[in-house]
Amino acid sequence: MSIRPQTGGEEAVHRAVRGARRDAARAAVLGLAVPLLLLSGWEAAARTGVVDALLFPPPSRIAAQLAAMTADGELGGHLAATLGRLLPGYVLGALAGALTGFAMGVSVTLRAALGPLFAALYCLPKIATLPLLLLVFGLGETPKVLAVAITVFFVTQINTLAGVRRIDTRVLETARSYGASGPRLLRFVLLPGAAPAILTGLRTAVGLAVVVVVAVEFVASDNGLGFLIWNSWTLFRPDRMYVGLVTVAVLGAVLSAALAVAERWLLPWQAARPPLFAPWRTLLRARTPRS
Amino acid sequence: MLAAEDIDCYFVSPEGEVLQALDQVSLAVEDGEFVCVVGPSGCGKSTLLRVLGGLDAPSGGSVRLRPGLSVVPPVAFVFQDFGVLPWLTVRANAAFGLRMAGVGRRLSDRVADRWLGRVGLSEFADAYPGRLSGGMRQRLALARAFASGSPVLLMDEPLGALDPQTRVQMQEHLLELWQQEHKTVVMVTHSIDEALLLGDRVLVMSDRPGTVTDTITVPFPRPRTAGIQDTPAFARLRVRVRQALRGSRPGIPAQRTDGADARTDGGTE
Ligand SMILES: Nc1ncnc2c1ncn2[C@@H]1O[C@H](COP(=O)(O)OP(=O)(O)OP(=O)(O)O)[C@@H](O)[C@H]1O
Ligand SMILES: [Mg+2]
Repeated sequence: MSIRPQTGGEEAVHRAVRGARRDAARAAVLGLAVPLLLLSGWEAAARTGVVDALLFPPPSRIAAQLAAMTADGELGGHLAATLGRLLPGYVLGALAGALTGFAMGVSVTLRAALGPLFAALYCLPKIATLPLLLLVFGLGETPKVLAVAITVFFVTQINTLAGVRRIDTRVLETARSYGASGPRLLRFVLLPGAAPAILTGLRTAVGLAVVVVVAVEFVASDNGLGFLIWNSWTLFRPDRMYVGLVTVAVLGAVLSAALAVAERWLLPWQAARPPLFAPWRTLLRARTPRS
Repeated sequence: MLAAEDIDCYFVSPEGEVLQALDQVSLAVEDGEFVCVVGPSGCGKSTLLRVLGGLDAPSGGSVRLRPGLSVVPPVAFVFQDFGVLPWLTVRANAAFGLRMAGVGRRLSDRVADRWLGRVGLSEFADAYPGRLSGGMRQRLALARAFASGSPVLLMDEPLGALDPQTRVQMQEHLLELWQQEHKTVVMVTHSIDEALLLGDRVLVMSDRPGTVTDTITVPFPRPRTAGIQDTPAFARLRVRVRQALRGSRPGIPAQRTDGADARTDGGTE
Protein backbone atom coordinates (compact mmCIF):
# COMPACT_ATOMS: atom_id res chain seq x y z
CA MET A 1 0.00 0.00 0.00
CA SER A 2 3.04 2.20 -0.22
CA ILE A 3 2.73 5.24 -2.44
CA ARG A 4 6.47 5.28 -2.91
CA PRO A 5 7.49 4.02 -6.33
CA GLN A 6 9.59 0.95 -6.94
CA THR A 7 13.11 1.39 -8.15
CA GLY A 8 13.10 2.39 -11.77
CA GLY A 9 9.85 4.31 -11.26
CA GLU A 10 11.83 7.27 -9.99
CA GLU A 11 12.35 8.66 -13.45
CA ALA A 12 8.59 8.59 -14.01
CA VAL A 13 8.03 10.49 -10.78
CA HIS A 14 10.53 13.14 -11.82
CA ARG A 15 8.84 13.42 -15.17
CA ALA A 16 5.43 13.89 -13.53
CA VAL A 17 6.80 16.53 -11.15
CA ARG A 18 8.54 18.33 -14.00
CA GLY A 19 5.34 18.22 -16.04
CA ALA A 20 3.31 19.74 -13.20
CA ARG A 21 5.94 22.48 -12.68
CA ARG A 22 5.99 23.24 -16.37
CA ASP A 23 2.20 23.60 -16.41
CA ALA A 24 2.32 26.01 -13.47
CA ALA A 25 5.14 28.05 -14.99
CA ARG A 26 3.34 28.24 -18.31
CA ALA A 27 0.17 29.50 -16.63
CA ALA A 28 2.16 32.19 -14.78
CA VAL A 29 3.96 33.34 -17.93
CA LEU A 30 0.73 33.50 -19.91
CA GLY A 31 -1.04 35.38 -17.12
CA LEU A 32 1.67 38.07 -17.18
CA ALA A 33 2.47 38.15 -20.86
CA VAL A 34 -1.02 38.80 -22.20
CA PRO A 35 -1.72 41.95 -20.14
CA LEU A 36 1.81 43.22 -20.83
CA LEU A 37 1.29 42.68 -24.55
CA LEU A 38 -2.03 44.53 -24.49
CA LEU A 39 -0.51 47.42 -22.53
CA SER A 40 2.41 47.86 -24.89
CA GLY A 41 0.00 47.75 -27.83
CA TRP A 42 -2.01 50.52 -26.21
CA GLU A 43 1.11 52.55 -25.50
CA ALA A 44 2.24 52.29 -29.10
CA ALA A 45 -1.22 53.09 -30.46
CA ALA A 46 -1.57 56.17 -28.25
CA ARG A 47 1.91 57.49 -29.09
CA THR A 48 1.52 57.03 -32.82
CA GLY A 49 -1.92 58.60 -32.76
CA VAL A 50 -3.79 55.50 -33.88
CA VAL A 51 -6.12 56.11 -30.92
CA ASP A 52 -6.98 59.49 -29.51
CA ALA A 53 -4.47 60.08 -26.69
CA LEU A 54 -6.92 62.53 -25.09
CA LEU A 55 -9.42 59.74 -24.47
CA PHE A 56 -6.90 56.93 -24.17
CA PRO A 57 -3.76 58.40 -22.66
CA PRO A 58 -0.78 56.08 -22.99
CA PRO A 59 -0.24 53.76 -19.98
CA SER A 60 3.03 55.54 -19.20
CA ARG A 61 1.18 58.80 -18.59
CA ILE A 62 -1.41 57.03 -16.45
CA ALA A 63 1.41 55.48 -14.45
CA ALA A 64 3.01 58.88 -13.94
CA GLN A 65 -0.32 60.31 -12.80
CA LEU A 66 -0.77 57.38 -10.44
CA ALA A 67 2.67 57.96 -8.96
CA ALA A 68 1.95 61.64 -8.48
CA MET A 69 -1.43 61.04 -6.85
CA THR A 70 0.05 58.39 -4.60
CA ALA A 71 2.88 60.71 -3.58
CA ASP A 72 0.64 63.61 -2.59
CA GLY A 73 -1.68 61.28 -0.69
CA GLU A 74 -4.77 62.01 -2.77
CA LEU A 75 -5.17 58.45 -3.99
CA GLY A 76 -4.60 57.08 -0.50
CA GLY A 77 -7.36 59.30 0.82
CA HIS A 78 -9.84 58.09 -1.77
CA LEU A 79 -8.84 54.49 -1.24
CA ALA A 80 -9.24 54.81 2.52
CA ALA A 81 -12.68 56.39 2.08
CA THR A 82 -13.80 53.54 -0.19
CA LEU A 83 -12.40 50.86 2.10
CA GLY A 84 -14.12 52.56 5.03
CA ARG A 85 -17.44 51.85 3.32
CA LEU A 86 -16.60 48.58 1.63
CA LEU A 87 -15.14 46.62 4.53
CA PRO A 88 -17.72 47.38 7.26
CA GLY A 89 -20.52 46.88 4.76
CA TYR A 90 -19.04 43.63 3.54
CA VAL A 91 -18.44 42.19 7.00
CA LEU A 92 -21.89 43.23 8.19
CA GLY A 93 -23.63 41.81 5.13
CA ALA A 94 -21.59 38.61 5.11
CA LEU A 95 -22.22 37.85 8.78
CA ALA A 96 -25.92 38.61 8.60
CA GLY A 97 -26.26 36.75 5.31
CA ALA A 98 -24.44 33.64 6.48
CA LEU A 99 -26.38 33.51 9.74
CA THR A 100 -29.73 34.03 8.04
CA GLY A 101 -28.95 31.56 5.29
CA PHE A 102 -27.81 29.00 7.82
CA ALA A 103 -30.88 29.43 9.99
CA MET A 104 -33.12 29.11 6.94
CA GLY A 105 -31.20 26.01 5.89
CA VAL A 106 -31.91 24.14 9.10
CA SER A 107 -35.36 25.50 9.93
CA VAL A 108 -38.32 24.55 7.79
CA THR A 109 -40.38 27.29 9.40
CA LEU A 110 -37.91 30.05 8.67
CA ARG A 111 -37.53 28.80 5.13
CA ALA A 112 -41.26 28.88 4.58
CA ALA A 113 -41.55 32.32 6.17
CA LEU A 114 -38.62 34.07 4.50
CA GLY A 115 -37.87 32.06 1.38
CA PRO A 116 -40.35 33.63 -1.05
CA LEU A 117 -39.69 37.14 0.26
CA PHE A 118 -35.94 36.86 -0.13
CA ALA A 119 -36.26 35.22 -3.51
CA ALA A 120 -38.27 38.21 -4.70
CA LEU A 121 -35.90 40.75 -3.14
CA TYR A 122 -32.88 38.95 -4.55
CA CYS A 123 -33.73 40.11 -8.06
CA LEU A 124 -34.12 43.74 -7.05
CA PRO A 125 -30.99 45.71 -8.02
CA LYS A 126 -29.74 46.63 -4.60
CA ILE A 127 -28.32 49.95 -5.77
CA ALA A 128 -31.91 50.98 -6.42
CA THR A 129 -32.46 51.08 -2.67
CA LEU A 130 -29.88 53.85 -2.27
CA PRO A 131 -32.36 56.74 -2.62
CA LEU A 132 -34.51 55.16 0.05
CA LEU A 133 -31.48 54.70 2.31
CA LEU A 134 -30.47 58.31 1.75
CA LEU A 135 -33.99 59.40 2.59
CA VAL A 136 -34.00 57.43 5.82
CA PHE A 137 -30.42 57.91 7.01
CA GLY A 138 -29.46 61.24 5.51
CA LEU A 139 -26.24 61.95 3.71
CA GLY A 140 -23.77 60.39 6.17
CA GLU A 141 -21.77 57.20 5.84
CA THR A 142 -24.53 54.93 7.12
CA PRO A 143 -26.56 54.64 3.89
CA LYS A 144 -23.40 53.93 1.87
CA VAL A 145 -22.25 51.18 4.20
CA LEU A 146 -25.76 49.77 4.27
CA ALA A 147 -26.03 49.72 0.48
CA VAL A 148 -22.94 47.51 0.39
CA ALA A 149 -24.19 45.38 3.28
CA ILE A 150 -27.56 44.75 1.63
CA THR A 151 -25.91 43.59 -1.59
CA VAL A 152 -23.54 41.27 0.24
CA PHE A 153 -26.31 40.01 2.49
CA PHE A 154 -28.49 38.63 -0.27
CA VAL A 155 -25.73 36.90 -2.19
CA THR A 156 -24.31 35.32 0.96
CA GLN A 157 -27.71 34.34 2.29
CA ILE A 158 -28.83 32.60 -0.88
CA ASN A 159 -25.55 30.71 -1.29
CA THR A 160 -25.41 29.66 2.35
CA LEU A 161 -28.98 28.42 2.22
CA ALA A 162 -28.24 26.40 -0.90
CA GLY A 163 -25.07 25.06 0.72
CA VAL A 164 -26.86 23.78 3.79
CA ARG A 165 -29.68 22.29 1.72
CA ARG A 166 -27.28 20.55 -0.60
CA ILE A 167 -25.30 18.67 2.03
CA ASP A 168 -25.30 15.05 0.93
CA THR A 169 -28.22 13.26 2.55
CA ARG A 170 -26.06 10.18 3.00
CA VAL A 171 -23.63 12.20 5.07
CA LEU A 172 -26.46 13.61 7.16
CA GLU A 173 -27.77 10.11 7.64
CA THR A 174 -24.36 8.86 8.76
CA ALA A 175 -24.16 11.72 11.23
CA ARG A 176 -27.62 10.92 12.51
CA SER A 177 -26.83 7.23 12.86
CA TYR A 178 -23.88 8.12 15.07
CA GLY A 179 -26.08 10.31 17.21
CA ALA A 180 -24.78 13.68 16.03
CA SER A 181 -26.94 16.55 17.21
CA GLY A 182 -26.84 20.13 18.41
CA PRO A 183 -23.48 21.93 18.47
CA ARG A 184 -21.58 18.81 17.41
CA LEU A 185 -23.74 18.34 14.34
CA LEU A 186 -23.14 22.00 13.55
CA ARG A 187 -19.38 21.81 13.96
CA PHE A 188 -18.63 18.47 12.37
CA VAL A 189 -21.27 18.28 9.67
CA LEU A 190 -23.38 21.33 8.86
CA LEU A 191 -20.70 24.04 8.90
CA PRO A 192 -18.05 22.18 6.92
CA GLY A 193 -20.72 20.79 4.62
CA ALA A 194 -22.02 24.24 3.75
CA ALA A 195 -18.62 25.95 3.81
CA PRO A 196 -17.78 25.58 0.10
CA ALA A 197 -21.07 27.21 -0.91
CA ILE A 198 -20.69 29.96 1.71
CA LEU A 199 -17.26 30.80 0.34
CA THR A 200 -18.57 30.84 -3.21
CA GLY A 201 -21.17 33.32 -2.04
CA LEU A 202 -18.55 35.44 -0.30
CA ARG A 203 -16.42 35.50 -3.42
CA THR A 204 -19.31 36.55 -5.65
CA ALA A 205 -20.22 39.16 -3.05
CA VAL A 206 -16.78 40.79 -3.18
CA GLY A 207 -17.21 41.70 -6.83
CA LEU A 208 -20.73 43.00 -6.31
CA ALA A 209 -19.71 44.97 -3.23
CA VAL A 210 -17.02 46.78 -5.20
CA VAL A 211 -19.55 47.59 -7.93
CA VAL A 212 -22.02 48.96 -5.42
CA VAL A 213 -19.57 51.03 -3.43
CA VAL A 214 -18.26 52.67 -6.60
CA ALA A 215 -21.79 53.33 -7.84
CA VAL A 216 -22.77 54.84 -4.52
CA GLU A 217 -19.74 57.11 -4.60
CA PHE A 218 -20.63 58.23 -8.11
CA VAL A 219 -23.83 59.86 -6.92
CA ALA A 220 -23.65 60.45 -3.20
CA SER A 221 -20.14 61.17 -2.11
CA ASP A 222 -17.35 63.70 -2.36
CA ASN A 223 -14.53 61.27 -1.76
CA GLY A 224 -13.68 57.67 -2.55
CA LEU A 225 -12.57 55.92 -5.74
CA GLY A 226 -16.03 56.17 -7.28
CA PHE A 227 -16.02 59.91 -6.70
CA LEU A 228 -12.55 60.12 -8.23
CA ILE A 229 -13.69 58.41 -11.41
CA TRP A 230 -16.92 60.38 -11.74
CA ASN A 231 -15.33 63.69 -10.85
CA SER A 232 -12.54 63.14 -13.39
CA TRP A 233 -15.17 62.66 -16.04
CA THR A 234 -16.92 65.92 -15.21
CA LEU A 235 -13.57 67.73 -15.23
CA PHE A 236 -12.49 65.89 -18.36
CA ARG A 237 -9.32 64.42 -16.85
CA PRO A 238 -9.13 60.92 -18.37
CA ASP A 239 -5.69 60.28 -16.88
CA ARG A 240 -7.09 60.71 -13.35
CA MET A 241 -10.06 58.61 -14.32
CA TYR A 242 -7.82 55.75 -15.39
CA VAL A 243 -5.98 55.96 -12.09
CA GLY A 244 -9.32 55.47 -10.35
CA LEU A 245 -10.27 52.59 -12.63
CA VAL A 246 -6.96 50.82 -12.15
CA THR A 247 -7.14 51.22 -8.39
CA VAL A 248 -10.66 49.78 -8.29
CA ALA A 249 -9.58 46.84 -10.42
CA VAL A 250 -6.56 46.15 -8.22
CA LEU A 251 -8.70 46.49 -5.09
CA GLY A 252 -11.16 43.93 -6.40
CA ALA A 253 -8.39 41.56 -7.43
CA VAL A 254 -6.63 41.82 -4.06
CA LEU A 255 -9.83 41.15 -2.12
CA SER A 256 -10.69 38.17 -4.34
CA ALA A 257 -7.19 36.78 -3.94
CA ALA A 258 -7.43 37.15 -0.16
CA LEU A 259 -10.65 35.16 -0.22
CA ALA A 260 -9.08 32.51 -2.45
CA VAL A 261 -6.29 32.10 0.10
CA ALA A 262 -8.80 31.94 2.93
CA GLU A 263 -10.71 29.33 0.97
CA ARG A 264 -7.73 27.10 0.56
CA TRP A 265 -6.99 27.40 4.24
CA LEU A 266 -10.59 26.82 5.33
CA LEU A 267 -11.36 23.96 2.93
CA PRO A 268 -8.22 21.82 3.04
CA TRP A 269 -10.13 18.72 1.91
CA GLN A 270 -10.88 20.32 -1.43
CA ALA A 271 -7.23 20.77 -2.30
CA ALA A 272 -6.98 17.15 -3.35
CA ARG A 273 -9.42 17.58 -6.22
CA PRO A 274 -7.94 17.11 -9.68
CA PRO A 275 -8.28 19.90 -12.23
CA LEU A 276 -11.56 19.91 -14.10
CA PHE A 277 -10.04 19.49 -17.51
CA ALA A 278 -6.86 17.75 -18.41
CA PRO A 279 -4.52 20.02 -20.32
CA TRP A 280 -4.99 19.62 -24.06
CA ARG A 281 -1.47 18.41 -24.35
CA THR A 282 -2.22 15.20 -22.47
CA LEU A 283 -5.33 14.63 -24.52
CA LEU A 284 -3.38 15.08 -27.73
CA ARG A 285 -0.54 12.96 -26.52
CA ALA A 286 -2.85 10.07 -25.78
CA ARG A 287 -3.73 9.82 -29.47
CA THR A 288 -0.20 9.74 -30.85
CA PRO A 289 1.33 6.28 -30.85
CA ARG A 290 4.19 5.75 -28.44
CA SER A 291 7.60 4.74 -29.65
CA MET B 1 -30.59 -8.27 22.33
CA LEU B 2 -32.03 -6.86 19.16
CA ALA B 3 -35.50 -7.94 18.14
CA ALA B 4 -37.95 -6.96 15.45
CA GLU B 5 -41.54 -8.13 15.27
CA ASP B 6 -43.84 -8.10 12.27
CA ILE B 7 -42.08 -5.22 10.57
CA ASP B 8 -43.98 -3.74 7.62
CA CYS B 9 -42.48 -0.98 5.59
CA TYR B 10 -44.20 1.02 2.87
CA PHE B 11 -42.78 3.80 0.74
CA VAL B 12 -45.08 6.31 -0.92
CA SER B 13 -43.69 7.97 -4.01
CA PRO B 14 -44.42 11.62 -4.77
CA GLU B 15 -46.85 10.39 -7.43
CA GLY B 16 -48.76 8.55 -4.74
CA GLU B 17 -47.69 5.04 -5.72
CA VAL B 18 -47.26 2.75 -2.78
CA LEU B 19 -44.36 0.33 -2.66
CA GLN B 20 -44.11 -2.32 -0.02
CA ALA B 21 -40.48 -2.95 0.89
CA LEU B 22 -40.91 -5.22 3.92
CA ASP B 23 -43.70 -7.62 4.77
CA GLN B 24 -44.06 -9.01 8.29
CA VAL B 25 -40.36 -9.41 9.00
CA SER B 26 -39.51 -10.78 12.41
CA LEU B 27 -36.10 -11.59 13.79
CA ALA B 28 -34.34 -11.85 17.10
CA VAL B 29 -30.60 -11.47 17.44
CA GLU B 30 -28.93 -12.63 20.63
CA ASP B 31 -26.17 -10.62 22.29
CA GLY B 32 -22.92 -11.43 20.59
CA GLU B 33 -24.59 -13.20 17.71
CA PHE B 34 -23.54 -12.68 14.10
CA VAL B 35 -26.51 -12.78 11.74
CA CYS B 36 -26.18 -12.49 7.99
CA VAL B 37 -28.96 -11.45 5.66
CA VAL B 38 -29.00 -12.52 2.01
CA GLY B 39 -31.63 -11.82 -0.61
CA PRO B 40 -32.13 -10.52 -4.11
CA SER B 41 -31.33 -6.91 -4.92
CA GLY B 42 -34.08 -4.50 -4.00
CA CYS B 43 -35.81 -6.89 -1.58
CA GLY B 44 -35.49 -4.54 1.36
CA LYS B 45 -32.29 -5.60 3.11
CA SER B 46 -30.99 -2.06 3.51
CA THR B 47 -34.44 -0.95 4.58
CA LEU B 48 -34.51 -3.65 7.25
CA LEU B 49 -31.15 -2.50 8.63
CA ARG B 50 -32.30 1.10 8.72
CA VAL B 51 -35.42 0.11 10.60
CA LEU B 52 -33.39 -1.98 13.04
CA GLY B 53 -31.05 0.93 13.65
CA GLY B 54 -33.85 3.43 14.12
CA LEU B 55 -33.07 5.49 11.03
CA ASP B 56 -36.46 4.71 9.50
CA ALA B 57 -39.66 4.16 11.40
CA PRO B 58 -41.45 1.02 10.28
CA SER B 59 -44.99 1.38 8.96
CA GLY B 60 -46.03 -1.47 11.25
CA GLY B 61 -44.50 -3.71 13.86
CA SER B 62 -41.92 -2.90 16.49
CA VAL B 63 -38.18 -2.97 17.10
CA ARG B 64 -36.69 -3.61 20.50
CA LEU B 65 -33.13 -2.88 21.42
CA ARG B 66 -31.75 -3.58 24.84
CA PRO B 67 -30.62 -0.18 25.94
CA GLY B 68 -26.89 0.12 26.33
CA LEU B 69 -25.38 1.24 29.59
CA SER B 70 -22.61 3.32 28.08
CA VAL B 71 -22.63 6.73 26.43
CA VAL B 72 -21.83 5.28 23.03
CA PRO B 73 -24.65 5.11 20.50
CA PRO B 74 -26.47 1.78 20.78
CA VAL B 75 -25.83 0.80 17.17
CA ALA B 76 -23.13 1.64 14.65
CA PHE B 77 -23.80 1.54 10.92
CA VAL B 78 -21.58 0.57 8.06
CA PHE B 79 -23.48 1.91 5.06
CA GLN B 80 -23.61 0.39 1.63
CA ASP B 81 -22.22 3.67 0.26
CA PHE B 82 -19.71 4.15 3.12
CA GLY B 83 -21.06 7.45 4.48
CA VAL B 84 -17.59 8.89 4.86
CA LEU B 85 -17.42 12.61 5.69
CA PRO B 86 -15.25 14.26 3.02
CA TRP B 87 -14.20 17.24 5.17
CA LEU B 88 -12.83 15.20 8.03
CA THR B 89 -9.44 13.53 7.89
CA VAL B 90 -9.35 9.75 7.85
CA ARG B 91 -8.50 9.80 11.55
CA ALA B 92 -11.33 12.20 12.38
CA ASN B 93 -13.72 10.04 10.37
CA ALA B 94 -12.70 6.97 12.32
CA ALA B 95 -13.11 8.91 15.56
CA PHE B 96 -16.46 10.36 14.52
CA GLY B 97 -18.67 7.97 16.47
CA LEU B 98 -16.79 8.60 19.69
CA ARG B 99 -16.70 12.36 19.20
CA MET B 100 -20.44 12.43 18.61
CA ALA B 101 -20.89 10.49 21.83
CA GLY B 102 -19.05 13.28 23.63
CA VAL B 103 -15.72 11.54 24.08
CA GLY B 104 -12.76 13.93 24.08
CA ARG B 105 -10.54 14.44 21.11
CA ARG B 106 -7.36 12.95 22.49
CA LEU B 107 -8.95 9.67 23.56
CA SER B 108 -11.07 9.40 20.41
CA ASP B 109 -8.04 9.88 18.21
CA ARG B 110 -6.09 7.26 20.10
CA VAL B 111 -8.87 4.69 19.68
CA ALA B 112 -9.31 5.69 16.03
CA ASP B 113 -5.61 5.25 15.33
CA ARG B 114 -5.70 1.77 16.75
CA TRP B 115 -8.57 0.77 14.48
CA LEU B 116 -7.02 2.42 11.46
CA GLY B 117 -4.00 0.25 12.09
CA ARG B 118 -6.15 -2.83 12.20
CA VAL B 119 -7.74 -2.12 8.83
CA GLY B 120 -4.42 -1.07 7.28
CA LEU B 121 -5.04 2.65 6.92
CA SER B 122 -2.51 4.08 9.38
CA GLU B 123 -0.51 5.60 6.58
CA PHE B 124 -3.50 7.70 5.50
CA ALA B 125 -4.62 8.87 8.94
CA ASP B 126 -3.96 12.54 8.16
CA ALA B 127 -5.23 12.47 4.57
CA TYR B 128 -8.73 13.40 3.49
CA PRO B 129 -11.03 10.63 2.25
CA GLY B 130 -11.02 12.14 -1.24
CA ARG B 131 -7.66 10.47 -1.69
CA LEU B 132 -8.89 7.01 -0.71
CA SER B 133 -10.01 4.28 -3.07
CA GLY B 134 -13.47 2.77 -2.76
CA GLY B 135 -12.17 -0.24 -0.88
CA MET B 136 -10.17 1.96 1.47
CA ARG B 137 -13.25 4.03 2.21
CA GLN B 138 -15.10 0.89 3.05
CA ARG B 139 -12.35 -0.16 5.45
CA LEU B 140 -12.55 3.32 6.98
CA ALA B 141 -16.28 2.87 7.49
CA LEU B 142 -15.54 -0.43 9.24
CA ALA B 143 -12.91 1.17 11.45
CA ARG B 144 -15.34 3.90 12.39
CA ALA B 145 -18.06 1.44 13.32
CA PHE B 146 -15.74 -0.67 15.46
CA ALA B 147 -14.09 2.38 17.04
CA SER B 148 -17.45 3.77 18.10
CA GLY B 149 -17.60 1.07 20.74
CA SER B 150 -21.26 0.36 20.03
CA PRO B 151 -22.27 -3.13 21.08
CA VAL B 152 -24.41 -3.59 17.96
CA LEU B 153 -23.07 -3.29 14.41
CA LEU B 154 -25.41 -3.01 11.45
CA MET B 155 -23.41 -3.56 8.28
CA ASP B 156 -24.77 -3.14 4.76
CA GLU B 157 -22.53 -5.03 2.36
CA PRO B 158 -19.46 -3.80 4.22
CA LEU B 159 -17.09 -5.63 1.90
CA GLY B 160 -19.01 -5.11 -1.34
CA ALA B 161 -16.58 -2.63 -2.87
CA LEU B 162 -13.47 -4.71 -2.34
CA ASP B 163 -11.64 -6.79 -4.92
CA PRO B 164 -11.81 -10.57 -4.33
CA GLN B 165 -8.36 -10.83 -2.70
CA THR B 166 -8.83 -7.91 -0.33
CA ARG B 167 -12.31 -9.11 0.34
CA VAL B 168 -11.09 -12.51 1.48
CA GLN B 169 -8.48 -10.79 3.64
CA MET B 170 -11.07 -8.50 5.16
CA GLN B 171 -13.44 -11.41 5.78
CA GLU B 172 -10.77 -13.16 7.79
CA HIS B 173 -10.02 -9.91 9.49
CA LEU B 174 -13.66 -9.31 10.30
CA LEU B 175 -13.94 -12.84 11.60
CA GLU B 176 -10.99 -12.24 13.89
CA LEU B 177 -12.22 -8.85 15.05
CA TRP B 178 -15.63 -10.18 15.82
CA GLN B 179 -14.26 -13.18 17.68
CA GLN B 180 -12.23 -10.80 19.84
CA GLU B 181 -14.87 -8.14 20.36
CA HIS B 182 -18.06 -10.20 20.41
CA LYS B 183 -20.32 -7.57 19.02
CA THR B 184 -23.89 -8.22 18.03
CA VAL B 185 -23.87 -8.02 14.26
CA VAL B 186 -26.45 -7.95 11.51
CA MET B 187 -24.70 -7.98 8.16
CA VAL B 188 -26.23 -7.79 4.70
CA THR B 189 -24.18 -9.49 2.03
CA HIS B 190 -24.53 -10.75 -1.51
CA SER B 191 -21.95 -13.45 -1.02
CA ILE B 192 -23.21 -16.79 0.27
CA ASP B 193 -19.69 -17.86 1.24
CA GLU B 194 -19.20 -14.71 3.24
CA ALA B 195 -22.49 -15.23 5.04
CA LEU B 196 -21.59 -18.84 5.92
CA LEU B 197 -18.05 -18.03 6.95
CA LEU B 198 -18.99 -15.17 9.27
CA GLY B 199 -22.52 -15.82 10.42
CA ASP B 200 -24.04 -17.87 13.18
CA ARG B 201 -27.27 -17.73 11.24
CA VAL B 202 -28.16 -16.77 7.69
CA LEU B 203 -31.54 -15.19 7.02
CA VAL B 204 -32.79 -15.58 3.47
CA MET B 205 -35.16 -12.91 2.24
CA SER B 206 -37.65 -13.10 -0.60
CA ASP B 207 -38.02 -10.69 -3.46
CA ARG B 208 -39.97 -7.53 -2.75
CA PRO B 209 -41.89 -7.17 -0.56
CA GLY B 210 -39.17 -8.70 1.54
CA THR B 211 -39.98 -11.36 4.07
CA VAL B 212 -37.70 -13.79 5.82
CA THR B 213 -38.34 -17.07 3.99
CA ASP B 214 -35.67 -19.21 5.55
CA THR B 215 -33.26 -19.22 8.46
CA ILE B 216 -30.19 -21.38 8.18
CA THR B 217 -28.14 -22.07 11.27
CA VAL B 218 -24.44 -22.32 10.57
CA PRO B 219 -23.12 -25.15 12.74
CA PHE B 220 -19.36 -24.58 12.39
CA PRO B 221 -17.71 -24.10 15.76
CA ARG B 222 -15.86 -20.94 16.72
CA PRO B 223 -13.19 -19.85 16.38
CA ARG B 224 -13.47 -20.40 12.65
CA THR B 225 -10.89 -19.95 9.96
CA ALA B 226 -11.30 -19.43 6.25
CA GLY B 227 -10.30 -23.07 5.82
CA ILE B 228 -13.82 -24.28 6.55
CA GLN B 229 -14.87 -23.08 3.13
CA ASP B 230 -13.18 -26.11 1.60
CA THR B 231 -15.03 -28.69 3.68
CA PRO B 232 -17.88 -30.79 2.26
CA ALA B 233 -20.17 -29.60 5.04
CA PHE B 234 -19.63 -26.04 3.89
CA ALA B 235 -20.37 -27.00 0.30
CA ARG B 236 -23.63 -28.64 1.37
CA LEU B 237 -24.70 -25.49 3.26
CA ARG B 238 -23.80 -23.38 0.27
CA VAL B 239 -26.16 -25.44 -1.88
CA ARG B 240 -28.82 -25.16 0.78
CA VAL B 241 -28.66 -21.35 0.86
CA ARG B 242 -28.61 -21.17 -2.90
CA GLN B 243 -31.74 -23.28 -3.08
CA ALA B 244 -33.40 -21.18 -0.42
CA LEU B 245 -32.60 -18.06 -2.43
CA ARG B 246 -34.00 -19.60 -5.57
CA GLY B 247 -37.12 -20.75 -3.76
CA SER B 248 -37.55 -17.28 -2.34
CA ARG B 249 -38.46 -15.91 -5.71
CA PRO B 250 -41.50 -17.67 -7.02
CA GLY B 251 -42.96 -16.63 -10.35
CA ILE B 252 -39.84 -15.10 -11.78
CA PRO B 253 -38.73 -16.22 -15.26
CA ALA B 254 -35.84 -18.64 -15.15
CA GLN B 255 -33.54 -16.39 -17.09
CA ARG B 256 -33.70 -13.55 -14.59
CA THR B 257 -33.30 -15.97 -11.73
CA ASP B 258 -30.03 -17.15 -13.23
CA GLY B 259 -28.78 -13.64 -13.74
CA ALA B 260 -29.58 -12.64 -10.20
CA ASP B 261 -28.05 -15.84 -8.94
CA ALA B 262 -24.73 -15.11 -10.52
CA ARG B 263 -24.65 -11.87 -8.64
CA THR B 264 -25.71 -13.45 -5.38
CA ASP B 265 -22.99 -16.04 -5.55
CA GLY B 266 -20.30 -13.63 -6.56
CA GLY B 267 -17.57 -12.29 -4.43
CA THR B 268 -15.59 -15.08 -2.92
CA GLU B 269 -15.48 -17.78 -5.53
N1 LIG C 1 -36.35 6.18 0.64
C1 LIG C 1 -37.02 5.39 -0.21
N2 LIG C 1 -38.09 5.86 -0.88
C2 LIG C 1 -38.78 5.07 -1.71
N3 LIG C 1 -38.50 3.79 -1.95
C3 LIG C 1 -37.44 3.26 -1.33
C4 LIG C 1 -36.65 4.02 -0.43
N4 LIG C 1 -35.67 3.23 0.04
C5 LIG C 1 -35.84 2.04 -0.54
N5 LIG C 1 -36.91 2.04 -1.36
C6 LIG C 1 -37.41 0.90 -2.12
O1 LIG C 1 -37.54 -0.19 -1.26
C7 LIG C 1 -37.09 -1.37 -1.89
C8 LIG C 1 -36.02 -2.02 -1.05
O2 LIG C 1 -34.87 -1.21 -1.06
P1 LIG C 1 -33.54 -1.62 -0.29
O3 LIG C 1 -32.58 -0.52 -0.46
O4 LIG C 1 -33.90 -1.99 1.10
O5 LIG C 1 -33.10 -2.92 -1.11
P2 LIG C 1 -31.83 -3.85 -0.86
O6 LIG C 1 -32.37 -5.20 -0.52
O7 LIG C 1 -30.91 -3.24 0.12
O8 LIG C 1 -31.18 -3.90 -2.29
P3 LIG C 1 -29.63 -4.01 -2.69
O9 LIG C 1 -29.23 -5.42 -2.46
O10 LIG C 1 -29.62 -3.69 -4.14
O11 LIG C 1 -28.88 -3.03 -1.87
C9 LIG C 1 -36.60 -0.97 -3.27
O12 LIG C 1 -37.58 -1.32 -4.21
C10 LIG C 1 -36.46 0.51 -3.22
O13 LIG C 1 -36.81 1.07 -4.44
MG1 LIG D 1 -29.07 -2.34 -0.05
